[in-house]
Order: sequence, then structure tokens, then C-alpha cells
Amino acid sequence: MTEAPLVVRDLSKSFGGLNVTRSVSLDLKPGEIHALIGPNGAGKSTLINLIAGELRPDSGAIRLNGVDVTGLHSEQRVRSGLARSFQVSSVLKDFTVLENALLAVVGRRQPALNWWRSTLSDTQGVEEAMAALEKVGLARRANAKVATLSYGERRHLELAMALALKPKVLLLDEPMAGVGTEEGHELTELVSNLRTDCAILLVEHDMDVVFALADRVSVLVEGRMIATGAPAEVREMESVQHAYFGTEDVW
Amino acid sequence: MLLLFLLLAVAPLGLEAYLLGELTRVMIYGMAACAVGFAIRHGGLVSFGHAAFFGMGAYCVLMARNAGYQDALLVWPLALLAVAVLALVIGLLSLRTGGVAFIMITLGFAQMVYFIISGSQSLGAADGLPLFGRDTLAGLSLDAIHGFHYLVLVALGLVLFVMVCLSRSPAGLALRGIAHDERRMKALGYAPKRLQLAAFVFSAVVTGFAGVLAANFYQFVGPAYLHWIVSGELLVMVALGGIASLSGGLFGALILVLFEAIFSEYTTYWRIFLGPAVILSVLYLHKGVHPAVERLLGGRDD
Repeated sequence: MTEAPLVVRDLSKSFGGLNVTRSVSLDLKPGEIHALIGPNGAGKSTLINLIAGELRPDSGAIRLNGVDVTGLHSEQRVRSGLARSFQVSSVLKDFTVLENALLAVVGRRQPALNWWRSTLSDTQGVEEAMAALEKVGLARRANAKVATLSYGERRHLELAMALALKPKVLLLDEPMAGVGTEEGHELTELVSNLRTDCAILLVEHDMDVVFALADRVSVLVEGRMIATGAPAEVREMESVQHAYFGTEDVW
Repeated sequence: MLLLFLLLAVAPLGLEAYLLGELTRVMIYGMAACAVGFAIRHGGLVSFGHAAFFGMGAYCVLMARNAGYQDALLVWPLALLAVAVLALVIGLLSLRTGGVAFIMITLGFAQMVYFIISGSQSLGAADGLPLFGRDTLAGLSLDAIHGFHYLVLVALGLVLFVMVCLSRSPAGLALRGIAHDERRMKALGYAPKRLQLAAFVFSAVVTGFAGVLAANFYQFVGPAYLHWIVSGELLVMVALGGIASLSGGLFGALILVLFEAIFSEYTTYWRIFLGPAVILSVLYLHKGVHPAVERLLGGRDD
């Protein structure tokens, strides 16, 4: 049996005396959307940063498609098939939509980086970038400067850039943060369609979105993974309800 | 931009030698300032140590002269190679830092180069040495200012052309991305340090080229080329011209030299007028003088 696209084993990280991640293990199955939930300060973003390679774990291992990537830099992990989106939209504002997408396409192709030919004369690259934009419905805005885009459109572009990296594993850090209800629905559907392309680890606060999308849910509380399972199962677990929601019933 | 080049091209026909020399100086310093601006625009690297590369280029001309070599086709490429090696070493070490620390460490390295070279007797120590005539180009004399002016003009055009190509290439685009958001570029699979090092070395080599030309222009090489004030002036030119366009530094150099030429007629403290000009430019023109001029002329800023 081949190993799951993403395997996290006994990952720990502390900042000074603060144990932010405590022996966390996680599997991402092919074609699955796996939601990571937990109260504020549970260590969700730290876990994402550890998996993406922006932080070094104190102990534990991360394997990507069976290859140990624990010692690799974030840019090397990207080239091994791991992509992430950012919580705060961080597309490059002075560039056009197409240029942003092209940066992603070219980034994946590294290290054969061209110093001479104009980026826009790379027809294959432009095609790939346009394909990614098409997928999120931004193709018609390709030549607009990002600064002129609406917030929701930037979130779409953020997704397109992650897709242009052709990842096997996609880490989505609150992709719906700050968008309106309607755009939220649109994005939810978009993410749902992505599961055929790659396995997705989704950090999300909105429980409606989590239940609409997730095949499995993991709950992180104070750096510990206290539960993993199907959404309906996890919802019923007493430990989850207690730790995450207190005694109040917010479902 | 084209207008400026046209002016520089017809200038030798009408101007007396002194004024023409001023324009040649604008182009030489402008080339160095464009290089400094390039590293900021493509890679986000604010270097306060480019005087080391400027001076290194100049001193290479002197060293070659001491060894008996005087032809540009041999001496200049070797000078640029020496500058590239120096930049590789300084860049490799400096890029371990970022932000303000990068500014300070490049300044530190430049000061080291300054003290080493100004301390060596064979290179004229603190006084410098005259060159007695310019280098020759494939046997042709460059001693007449007109010919030299055109040579510098062609060199500047070539450098700017290379810069435009680089900035449009995938690597150039990635470097601009790095200047905006390094973390983001890593998440797209780029290794920022390697690209930044390449940009730094390129910028240094162009600055070194300007140094080579400056040594030939003044026909004198001294520690003043290596002084940190040169690094500062290049940054002032960049601030004046702006980094919105690749040729911003050239406009900055033009303004600086014009300021010096006009106000030093009246007072040796002409820099008193420069300060407010820089402040005004940064406050109100935001992106520098070059885009403002282009807007005035109805052109587009690219």
C-alpha cells in the first residue's frame, strides 16, 4: 500500500516554555478534505507553519508522499508537491493577476530559472497560469492589477496561485476569512471541487463551511489533537464539546 | 527616457568641454545609481556599501596601469571579474542578515575595503595616483572628451537594456516578488537568498563598471572613490529618482549634479539645498522624480 500524501508523526514545538504543538499526529488521505478546527490559540497556524516548513519542529517527522521532508526548507517542500495559502491575503499587489499566477508556475519549475527571456513570452507558462486562473474564474481579470481587485477576488487568486503549483497536498489557512456570505459559498464550492486534484488540509473557523466540505475533522486544543473522525462523529464527542465549546451548545 | 538619451546624444555637438564633462559624469554616476536601485527594486536589498564596488572598479584600472596594461578590452573585463568576486564574498556574508542589519554590514565591508586600499603605498595610499591619460579601446585613444562621452553613452544604454531584459525575465519577476514579500515567494517554491545574491552581484558589477569609467573620466584614482559618502550619494540619487522605473537613478544623478553645478557657484555648502530637495521628493513625489517627469510629459511610467 502506498503511503498517504501527508503523514505527520509526533510533531512537537515549543516557544520558550510554551508548548504550542504537543506530539501531534495526522494523516491526509488521497482526495480528502481534512478540516482542522480548534479554539483560538490552539496552535492551528503553528501546525500549518510546521507542515509548510516555515517553522522547525523540536521533534517528530513529516512525510510527503512517503518522503521525509522534516529537514527540508519551505521552498524545497513546495517543489515536492506541497502548497499553502495564507490567512491574510498576500498576493503581490503591484503585479497583475496573470503575473502573480505566473510566479507560481515558474516557482514550481525551478531551479531552471530563466534570467533573460521575457516572462510573458513563455507561452506554455502563460497557458498554465491561465488554466489555474480559469479554474477559479479569474481568467477575464488576468491583466488587471491586483490592487484593483476586490477582497474576494484576491482570495480566489490566492487559491489559483496555490493550484498553479500543482500540489499533491494543499494547506488552506482560512481561505474564506473575511469574505461575504455569497462569495463564501462560491469559494466553498470551489474548494470542494479541488479534492479531485489534491488532498487538502483546511483550517477554518466557520462550522457551516467545515461541515459542508470536510470528509474528516481533527480537533486541536492547547496543542494536542484530541479527536479525529467523521464530522458527525466528532460533533457528538463529549470531550470535544467540553474542551472546545465549554458546556454551552453552540451547534 | 528617450528624450534624455537624445539630449545626451546631441550634447557633444553644442556644449563646451566643461559642461559636456558634467553630463558624462551624470551618466557615470547615473549608471551606478541605477545599479543600486536595481538591487532595491529587485530583491529588496538596500546596500550602503556600493562604494566598495565603485572604488574596486577604479582601482583595478590603476593596478592594471601599474602592471603596464592599458587597453579597455583586456583591463575592463578583468576589473568587472574582480568586482564580481568581491561582491560574491560580501554578498554571501551580508545576505545572512536582512533589513537594517544588511545596510550596516554592507557599510562595514565597504569600510574594510576602504581602509585596506587607502593603506597600501603602491596604490597611492591616502593621496591616490593620477593615471596620465585614459585607457585605449582596441588601440584607439579615448583622451578626447567627445569620444569618451559617446562611449559612456553606449555603455549606459547597454546596461539599461540588460536591466530591462533581466527585470522582465522570470528571475527578475521573482526578485521583485521577493522585494515585496519574501515569505510568500518561499511558499511559491523560490529560494530567495540565491536570487538575491545574483541580483547583488549584478548590481555590484554594474557599479564597478561605473567605477572603471569614473577612473578614466577623472584620470585619477584615490580613496575618495571608496568613501562611504559615495554609497550615500548613490542612495540619495536613487531616492531622488525613485525605484518605480529602472532608470530612476539616472534622473537622480542628473538632479544631484545639476544642484552641485548651480549652487556651488554661490556657496560651498550647496548640500544645504540638496537636503530639502530630497525631503520634498520623498514626501510629495512618492515614487521619485522620474515618473513625475514622465507624467508631466504625458508619458506612461513603467
